Amino acid sequence: MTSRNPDLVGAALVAVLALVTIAGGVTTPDPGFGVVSPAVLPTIIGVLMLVTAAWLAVDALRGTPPPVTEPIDRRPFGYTVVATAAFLFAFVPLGFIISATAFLIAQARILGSHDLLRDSIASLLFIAGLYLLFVQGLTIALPKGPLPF
Amino acid sequence: MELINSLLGGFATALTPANLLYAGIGVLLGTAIGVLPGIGPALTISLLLPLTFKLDPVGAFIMFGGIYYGAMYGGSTTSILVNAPGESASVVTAIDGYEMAKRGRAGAALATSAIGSFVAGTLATIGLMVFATILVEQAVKLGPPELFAIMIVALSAVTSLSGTSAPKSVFATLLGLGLGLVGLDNQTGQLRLTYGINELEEGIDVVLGAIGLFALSEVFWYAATLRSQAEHRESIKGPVWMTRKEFSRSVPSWLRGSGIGFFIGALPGAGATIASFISYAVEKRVSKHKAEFGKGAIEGVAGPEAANNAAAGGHLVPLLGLGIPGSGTTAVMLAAFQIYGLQPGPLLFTTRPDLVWGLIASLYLANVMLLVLNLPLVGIWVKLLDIPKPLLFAGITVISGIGVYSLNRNAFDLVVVFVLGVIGFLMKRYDYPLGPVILGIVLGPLIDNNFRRGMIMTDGNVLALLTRPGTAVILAIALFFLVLPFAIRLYGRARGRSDLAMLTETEVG
Repeated sequence: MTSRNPDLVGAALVAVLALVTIAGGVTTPDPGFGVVSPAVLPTIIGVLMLVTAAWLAVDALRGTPPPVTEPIDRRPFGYTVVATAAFLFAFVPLGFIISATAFLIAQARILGSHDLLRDSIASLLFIAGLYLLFVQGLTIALPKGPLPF
Repeated sequence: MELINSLLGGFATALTPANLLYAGIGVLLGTAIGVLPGIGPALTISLLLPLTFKLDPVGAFIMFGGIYYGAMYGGSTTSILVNAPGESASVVTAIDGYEMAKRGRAGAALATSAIGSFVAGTLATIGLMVFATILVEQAVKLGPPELFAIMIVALSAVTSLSGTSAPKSVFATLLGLGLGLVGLDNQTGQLRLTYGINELEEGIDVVLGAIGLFALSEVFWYAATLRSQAEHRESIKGPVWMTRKEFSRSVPSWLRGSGIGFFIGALPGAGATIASFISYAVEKRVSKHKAEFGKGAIEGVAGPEAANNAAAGGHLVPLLGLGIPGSGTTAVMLAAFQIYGLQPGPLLFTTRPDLVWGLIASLYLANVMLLVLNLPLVGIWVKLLDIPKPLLFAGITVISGIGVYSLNRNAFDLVVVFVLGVIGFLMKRYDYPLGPVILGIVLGPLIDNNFRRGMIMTDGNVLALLTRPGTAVILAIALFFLVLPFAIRLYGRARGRSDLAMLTETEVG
């Protein structure tokens, strides 16, 4: 089933990215000074990506075996991606302490821990330690969110 | 004499209590991340960058040097005891190292690895000192066209020597170059590849690339392969030392591995992993005990472990001498230099000799510290593997968040790093190498800059640019690298040599 060959899907995605890069390249304004326009290198990169997409597709169609992939553990993987996204997106609005503590508790549960109380205490202590190290020790400002500190 | 004076000046810098402390922290962290699978020196330096913002750059780079050398030491421990290399450069060590451990010779394997790393690290630092100085003298004569050509060599080498598929490696390089060009063009002030997103005007920092592609992708990978994480660990029986016979068999392998590692490492783009594979192939070829290879030959541990440590020293030659990184880790180190407003290369030797020579001197000290840490204390390092993996990877995500945010205090960077993490996971899953992406992000703007400055010198004549004597020779080397993997594969197939095929299928970290 060539239609499910991941390398063919990869070739298609590379082709799309190539077109996006070419579009970004050719629409870069040329201020008219300098020998080489700033548009040149991005456009060349986009064209070379397009050639690479064709190369990947030809390789796949000529029978190069696709990469051997193990089945994904969908539940922990999916939840981890969602939890990471939530943590990173909430980092500024909710602040470091709330977002990171909630993330650690959630992540421990996703990856198989069932002791909510222990995980909560451990997460809070770890985050408090990091906060003290970065904010108090190294004077690196981290977002506070709704908390006063 | 000047070299000795410079080195003595370097020791005066490195031996201050504060710098000794930074070197100590560096080697401790480096060994720890070397032992722990999934975390490499490039990622660690990226994560530590915000921690070092308040430090003097000399202290910061002394710490980074310790991390780099330490990671190479620590990587062998997990290879030998768990058969799960902590670093890609220690993959080949597992072949004979784990077999030795299964036969109750883990102590000897760990000893030859630690002493070999010490010998190689020391020889490579001497090589770094000599060759970087020579390179600096020549580098001042190089113009933008030659620098452009050298960067093309670096990209060609890393592209041709990474991954299992040529088009996938080429794509990874192009992706990195494209990401490197996002943002304001510093020659004309025009915005490129930003697609109307204002937050992209400042570009995509290589630190974001390293954290997204190496850290978050590794966290996603761990979660995706949770069920297959079981490991069997061999114990250390007896002292961490070798018999007289094992010692005498190791010495020539350490020396050969040091030479191979240093010179392979000094080539822009060729990595410690490749050096260790070549060293293994050489040891197997010259050994009087060929039948033992694959079943626990001590030369199969001694050579590659010396090679991967020497390669770390070799990598620093193009970085310090030319300002051109040859690996993921040195790419991140270059970014760190730039954050401090410094540009490695010939000028740095005259403007900041305290930094350059302090770093070189600290590498000698780091090697001594690492020998002490790794020979008698190896049992303590093994205990790091008891850290619950969920805690470790969740902690990496949290520290990644801090590292990314504190870089520019910009919430959009957190979005970029998440997207890069997902891309990194998909690339890893479908065998696209990640090393060339990082190198591309760093080299993209430098290549663009030198190419366009070179074109100004030749009045826009590409042919004149490419056929300048120096440029033509350097570009011929780039062509050699592009053809090399095809030639090795064809030769390997013709001779039925699977080890040669493996050589062209490694990741450059």
